[in-house]
Amino acid sequence: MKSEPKKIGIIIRQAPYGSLLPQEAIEATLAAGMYGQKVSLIFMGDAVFQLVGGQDAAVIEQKTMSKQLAALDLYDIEQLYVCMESLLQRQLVSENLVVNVSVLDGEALRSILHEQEILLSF
Amino acid sequence: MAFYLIMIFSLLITSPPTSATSHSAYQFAKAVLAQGHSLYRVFFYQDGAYHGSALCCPPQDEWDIIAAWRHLQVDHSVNMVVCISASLKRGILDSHEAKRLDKQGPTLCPEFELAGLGQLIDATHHSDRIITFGG
Repeated sequence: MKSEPKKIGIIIRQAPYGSLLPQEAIEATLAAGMYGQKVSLIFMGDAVFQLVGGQDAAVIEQKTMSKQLAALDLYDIEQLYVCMESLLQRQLVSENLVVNVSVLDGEALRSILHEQEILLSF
Repeated sequence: MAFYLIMIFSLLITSPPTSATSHSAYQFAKAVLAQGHSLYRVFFYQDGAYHGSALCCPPQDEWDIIAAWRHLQVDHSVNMVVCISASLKRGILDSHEAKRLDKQGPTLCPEFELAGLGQLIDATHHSDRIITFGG
């Protein structure tokens, strides 16, 4: 793709392991990174559970989500955000998270979303 | 004279054809075209890949959403792409993939094409808006 990269915001809302969907949302994110787009990845709602440490999905025959998220860095996806409200509602704090993400309050989140040229919502 | 903006839309559909969301997406696509806007691509991803199935047989007294999408493609030459990685694991194969993977035969409707996620990113480049229909 030769044209200027676009600012693409990808919103993920689903908890890991319930279905194929969260995994496929990450694949779409990696594709955007691979094609050189300026990707911001935003975890909201139950998707915050993807970031929590101590997961071993091998016991349920799945791939561990937090390990896969570590690969985002290799695709130059470095803008990772998590919704503070979603963490608080689930009794989580940033110390529970193993992936390096910025915690944003509602106002900061709105401003990040506003900056994007394209939003993809999963 | 009325002065209005022509926009280029693409749709990302992540819900299956059995979901009411598919119906909303179809109505939205029709409205985009009816108002003179351009529909660059409809990209079917995740469970949206089931839209490509040529094997769904809804009862005759029920509305056939897949047939509706197929007609939309025929009538308006809409580019309808099913993500290949999402489709293969859901049993939606074109003749090339069926042969390559040694399966009985193709299961993809001819109005759809299989392609990679690059086509979704390409759509983000060529569209003013991408509207996601999922959940």
